[in-house]
Amino acid sequence: MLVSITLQTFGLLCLSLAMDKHFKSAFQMPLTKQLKFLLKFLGWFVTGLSVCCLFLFVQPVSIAIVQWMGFLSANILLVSLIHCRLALKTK
Amino acid sequence: MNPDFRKSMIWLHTYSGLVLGWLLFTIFLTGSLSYFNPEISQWMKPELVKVTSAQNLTNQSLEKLHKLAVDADSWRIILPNERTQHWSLQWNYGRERHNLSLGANYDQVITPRDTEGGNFFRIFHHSLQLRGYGGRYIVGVAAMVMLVIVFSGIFTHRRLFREFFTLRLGKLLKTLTDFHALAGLVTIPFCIMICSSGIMIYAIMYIPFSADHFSGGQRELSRALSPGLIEIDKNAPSQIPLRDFGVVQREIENHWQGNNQIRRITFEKPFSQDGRIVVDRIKNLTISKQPERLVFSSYDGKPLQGYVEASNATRVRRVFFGLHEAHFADIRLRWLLFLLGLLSSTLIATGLIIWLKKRLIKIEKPQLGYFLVERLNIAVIGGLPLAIVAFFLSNRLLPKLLEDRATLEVQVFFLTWLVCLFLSLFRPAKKAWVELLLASALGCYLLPIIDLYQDSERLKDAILEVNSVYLTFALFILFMGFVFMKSACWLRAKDTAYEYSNNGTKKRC
Amino acid sequence: MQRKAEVFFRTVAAIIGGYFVSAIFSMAFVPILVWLQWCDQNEAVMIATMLSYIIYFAVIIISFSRQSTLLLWRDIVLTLCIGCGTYSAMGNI
Repeated sequence: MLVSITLQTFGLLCLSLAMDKHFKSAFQMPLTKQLKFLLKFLGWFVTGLSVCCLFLFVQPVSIAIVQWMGFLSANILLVSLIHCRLALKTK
Repeated sequence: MNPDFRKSMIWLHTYSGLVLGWLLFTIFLTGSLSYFNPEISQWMKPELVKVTSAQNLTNQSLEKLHKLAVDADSWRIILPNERTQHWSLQWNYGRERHNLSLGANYDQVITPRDTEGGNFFRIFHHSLQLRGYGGRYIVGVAAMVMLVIVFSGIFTHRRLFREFFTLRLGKLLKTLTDFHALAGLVTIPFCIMICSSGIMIYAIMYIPFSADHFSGGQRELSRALSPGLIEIDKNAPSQIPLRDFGVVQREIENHWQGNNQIRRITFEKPFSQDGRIVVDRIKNLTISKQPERLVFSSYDGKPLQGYVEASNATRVRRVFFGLHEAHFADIRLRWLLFLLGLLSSTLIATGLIIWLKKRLIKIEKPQLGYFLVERLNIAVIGGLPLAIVAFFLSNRLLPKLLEDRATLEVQVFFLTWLVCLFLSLFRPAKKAWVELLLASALGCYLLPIIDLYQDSERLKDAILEVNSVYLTFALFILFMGFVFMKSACWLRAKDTAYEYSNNGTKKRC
Repeated sequence: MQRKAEVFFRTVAAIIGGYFVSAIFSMAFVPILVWLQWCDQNEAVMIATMLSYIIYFAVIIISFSRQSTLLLWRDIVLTLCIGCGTYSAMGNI
């Protein structure tokens, strides 16, 4: 489960960085088309991996799915806070 | 209404949030506490001992029941688990109920103090203590309105979603707005899940017309969709129920894998030949509200035909119910849900405060409406935490053998809240906020101290046994005390003067 | 004054109109489900009732976002009539 959630965090981070505004505030560089595609692909792929991890666990899939959704909220918060830190650092 | 969709949504978000904000704050806060219902009950009954280490619980229970509950109409054995640590027996003769709580050692009987425990929060959360007076309808309305608020909120704060997240800590209003947007974004899935599952729990009760017309009533519908067991033959000859549960236990182990799978054993009409045993499985293995059940005969332990599989629609509703109560959640997920619930409560609270502040900046002189909103904000947002802390304090301070103790504790809760209302009406706004926060902080700090004073052994035993419930509760309450104190100090230092645009600098603090 | 009246009528449409529309939906959808043979009557009652809350939510949102209050009320009354009609026509199946 921990693996799934860590993958989810990483995936969300990639997806959020794939957005122009967030990338710019985080790294102060413009987002090139290739980098954007790469980040989006990586983000969705890793998130997909984390969903696949759910099926490898002992507990019933239904409970695992609910756990995943629950931690999604926590990860959205975490990613937002990471963005805050990144922006404050590069200011 | 308004020229475009977004503006109408803003209007809807603002006013529906205002009308039901205080009620929603209350429901969300008490609901979040309900996630830890058994743990809070355990803390509030310090007489309970750790019983999960005891052996042979069912046979010991049967022995006791054979001695004490001869010819009873029903027996019930509630086995303890890590969360409740409560092993109890119940039996009744018609309407006359008896119960007994047992300890880990042989023949040890414990008498936990009479208290509602964490269950008070759960009941308050879904019925507002108005059980027979339509409390559940009010809560249902609140749930539906919350869905509308969340939906319209997405459009109201849409700009902030796309924008980069800052927490501007300079001005109070900006901080609150940023926090409100961030908390809102994070809790969207949680709030939608909670509100829709909450409505589905009483779905048939809120719009009963279909059930009344087609199925002849709500109860008849439930009975038709999830039929119970066949009626017990009243004229069956009497028979003494079994004494050794081992026969049944072996059968159960064939069906249910794992240890300690039994939550509760109910004997229906144990002293009849037709009597039966219904064994309930533990709740954390399924998302549905209804765990599995097995049925056996009460005198020879032979398996009987079980419950008929419920209809699909009923199972969907039970999944909704189960999602809402989250019995399936392990400790990590449970804490996450609890924190999301607290975050939602602060979301609602900040929304109410933002509403007020935005308007107070613009107006020229004080108005009754804004005065009321301001006072209600203080009374509800500041007062409810204090009332909860007072509830816990009363649990420790009221004498153990007092008559009707449970009701008294609840009355203390409501009285404290009422006092907070008066405080908020008669004190200047900022002072009232700071005082309520400081009082809550004081109450939180006092709790572990009073606990230690009453029985110094408790803490020592808790540390030695690693009683995680007791220790976590104490630590969390201290942490909350710290949070309240810090908020009070921060608020006191902040310049929250409301300047009236015409009259120069008329301060209200 | 006109604004207040508009808000009042939209609120009534949302709360009371919405409740009646979802109630009539919960009753009218049952014979449709039974006729389509998707499930038996009791289960249809449960399904229709649970789905009617989505209708209620939609009516509330529409009540406050529709441009014209008059058209809103016309549509609510029309929906109620259609619902009653469906129910009377198919209710005894």
